Amino acid sequence: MRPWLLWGVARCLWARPAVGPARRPLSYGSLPLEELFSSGGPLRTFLERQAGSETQLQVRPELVAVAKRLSEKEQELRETEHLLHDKNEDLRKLAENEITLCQKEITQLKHQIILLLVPSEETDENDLILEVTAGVGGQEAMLFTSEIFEMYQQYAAFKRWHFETLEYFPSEIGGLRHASASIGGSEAYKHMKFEGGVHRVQRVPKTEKQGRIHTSTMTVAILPQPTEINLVINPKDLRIDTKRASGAGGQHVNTTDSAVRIVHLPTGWN
Amino acid sequence: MELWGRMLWTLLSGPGRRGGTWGWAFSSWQPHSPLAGLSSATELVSHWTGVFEKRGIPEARESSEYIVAHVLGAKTFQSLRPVLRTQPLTPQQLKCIQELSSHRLQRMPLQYILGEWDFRGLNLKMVPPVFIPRPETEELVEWLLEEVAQRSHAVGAQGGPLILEVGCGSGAISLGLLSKLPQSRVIAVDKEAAAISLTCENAQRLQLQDRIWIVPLDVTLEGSWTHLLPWGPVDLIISNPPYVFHQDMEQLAPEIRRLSGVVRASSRPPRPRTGAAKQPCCEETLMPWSCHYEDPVALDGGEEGMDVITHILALAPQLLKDCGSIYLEVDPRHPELVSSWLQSHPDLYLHLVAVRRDFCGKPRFLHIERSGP
Repeated sequence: MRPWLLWGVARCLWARPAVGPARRPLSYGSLPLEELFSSGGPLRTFLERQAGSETQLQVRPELVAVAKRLSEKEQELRETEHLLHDKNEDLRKLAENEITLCQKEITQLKHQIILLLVPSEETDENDLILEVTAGVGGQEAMLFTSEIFEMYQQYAAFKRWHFETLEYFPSEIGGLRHASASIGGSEAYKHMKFEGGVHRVQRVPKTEKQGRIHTSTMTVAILPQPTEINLVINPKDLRIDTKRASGAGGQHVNTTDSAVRIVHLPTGWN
Repeated sequence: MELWGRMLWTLLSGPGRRGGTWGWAFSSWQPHSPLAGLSSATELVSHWTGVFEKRGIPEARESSEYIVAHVLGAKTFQSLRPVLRTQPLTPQQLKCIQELSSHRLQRMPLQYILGEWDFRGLNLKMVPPVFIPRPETEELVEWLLEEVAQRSHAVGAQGGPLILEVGCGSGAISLGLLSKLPQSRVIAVDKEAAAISLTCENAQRLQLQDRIWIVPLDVTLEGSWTHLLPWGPVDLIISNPPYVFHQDMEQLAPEIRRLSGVVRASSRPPRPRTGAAKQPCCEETLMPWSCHYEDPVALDGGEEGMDVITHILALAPQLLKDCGSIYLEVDPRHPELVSSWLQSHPDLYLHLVAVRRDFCGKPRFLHIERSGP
C-alpha cells in the first residue's frame, strides 16, 4: 500500500511536463530534482563517497549500485550529446531518441536514489498486533467489524504472513465485537501501520427492515511488537519479601517455591 | 444457542467465497467454544489442585501448574501463551498429565517428576535418587563468585581458580561456577555412582565437560584424598555436604525421607528423642512398599550433622593451597560447632572467617580460610 502512496506523492512533488514533439530535450525533468543533483552539490559528493567506499558496499549495496548506474548513464548522455551536432541527419535523430531514453532513465534513477535515502522506520520489520473493535451501530457495526477482520485475515494470507487469532468475541448473528490477532512476516508493520483509526461504513444493513441507510463505525488498532524490550527497573521500585521458613530450611526442605517474592510497587506485579 | 449461531454464520458466509483461500485463511483459527468433555489447561490445573489439596499434598497449586505447563512445553504456567491456556488438550496430553499427577500423589518431588530443574539459570537434569539442589545453595555459589571477583588479581599461574567440590550430586554447584568463571576448572567428587553419572550428563548438556573432572571418591574413607594429589593443591574447596542431624531425618517431609518403616542401618544406634517431638511421619504412611526419593546418604550428617564436614576440613592440609578457602553450606546450628571444632584442631591452621545468612535470615554459609604451613 505504501509504495503507491509514496509514488503518488513523488509524482505530485516533481510533476513532469507533458510529453510532446516540441519539447526541448535538455529541460526534461523537474527543476527541484536538478537542483538536488547539481554537480558539486552535497548530494553528489555524498553519492561519490558512497560509490568509492568499500564498507558502504556491504551496508547499503542498492544505493551504491544505483549511484554507479546513475553516473554511468550520465556519462552515456554526455557522449550521446556530441552526436547532436553531427552532419548526418539520421544520426542526429538517433541521437535525439537515445538522449530521450537516457534522460528518462536518469530521472527514474534519481527518484530511486531519493527513495533509498529515506530512512525506514526502526519498526518496519516488526511483527504487529491487530485489534478490531466494533464501534457505533450495534449489530450492523459488529457485522462490519467481522468483515474487516476477515479482510485482514485474507490479506495476510495473500502476503504470506503468519496470522494468529489471539482473541475473538463474536456476536449473536455472526458479527464480531472485538478481536485481536498477531501478524508476522516480511515488512508486515510497514504495510499495516497506516491501517489504524476509525473506519466508517454507510449502507443498508442486513438488520434493516425498511431499507434505510445507516452509518456504522469500527476501529482498527495496530501495535508493533518490539523485537527487543529494553526494560529499566529502578531497584527502589521493588519490594522483596522473604517468607521466613519456620523450620531449618536448606536440606530439610524440598519445595518448588523459593519463598522469595518480588513485588514491583508501581504496577503491583509479583 | 451457539450451535444455532454457528449454523447461521456458515449459511451467511458459505456461498460466494472461494473455498481455497477460505480454508487456508482459517487454518490457524481456533473454535471459540470448546467442545464438552475436553478440558483446557486452566481447568485442568484447578481440577488437579483440588485433588492434591484433598490428599494433603503440599504446594498443590504449584505442583499442578508445573505439571500442566511441562506437558504443554512451557517452563511455568504463567509463561504459557493465553491462547494455549484456553485451548482444549489432546487425549495424549491429558494422559501425560494424569500419569505425572499420579506420581505427585505418591509424594514424588516435582523435580523428579519433571525430570529437570533450574539452578542459577542453568537447566539441569534430575534423576532419583540424586539430591535435588536447594535454592539456598544458589547463594553459596553467589558468595564464592563475589569473592573470586574481588581477588581476581591473585589467580593461579594457569589462570582461573582450581576448585574442588565435594559431594557434587547433580553437578549444580560445579556447573554453576564453571558457567560464570570461564577460566576456572573444577574437580567434582561424589561417593555415589548415580551422582557421578548425572553430573557427567549435565556437564555435557551444558557443554562444560572440558573443564570439569568428575571423580568417584568417598572423602570419609581413610587416605582417599591421595587420589586427588595429581591435580595439585586447589585454590578453593566448596561443598554442600550432608548436614542434617541424624535425629531430624525422620521429621523430613515424605518427599525426601524413606517411606518404609525400616530404620536405616547405621554404625550408631539411633539416639532416643528427648522432649515433646513431633509425631514421626512414618506412622501416617499407608504405602505397603518402601521407596525413597532422595538418597538419605546425601542428607544424613551423623549425630551432629558434622561427619562429612569434619572430613572435608581435614582435607585442607593436603589439598588446599596456603591462603586457600573453604566454602560450606551448613545447618544453622553449625557455625558454633564448626568454630569450636576448628579451635580444638589447631594443627589444621584453619579459622572461620565469615558466616553468611541465607535469604531467610538463617546462618547458612561458612567461609573458612587456611593460613599457615
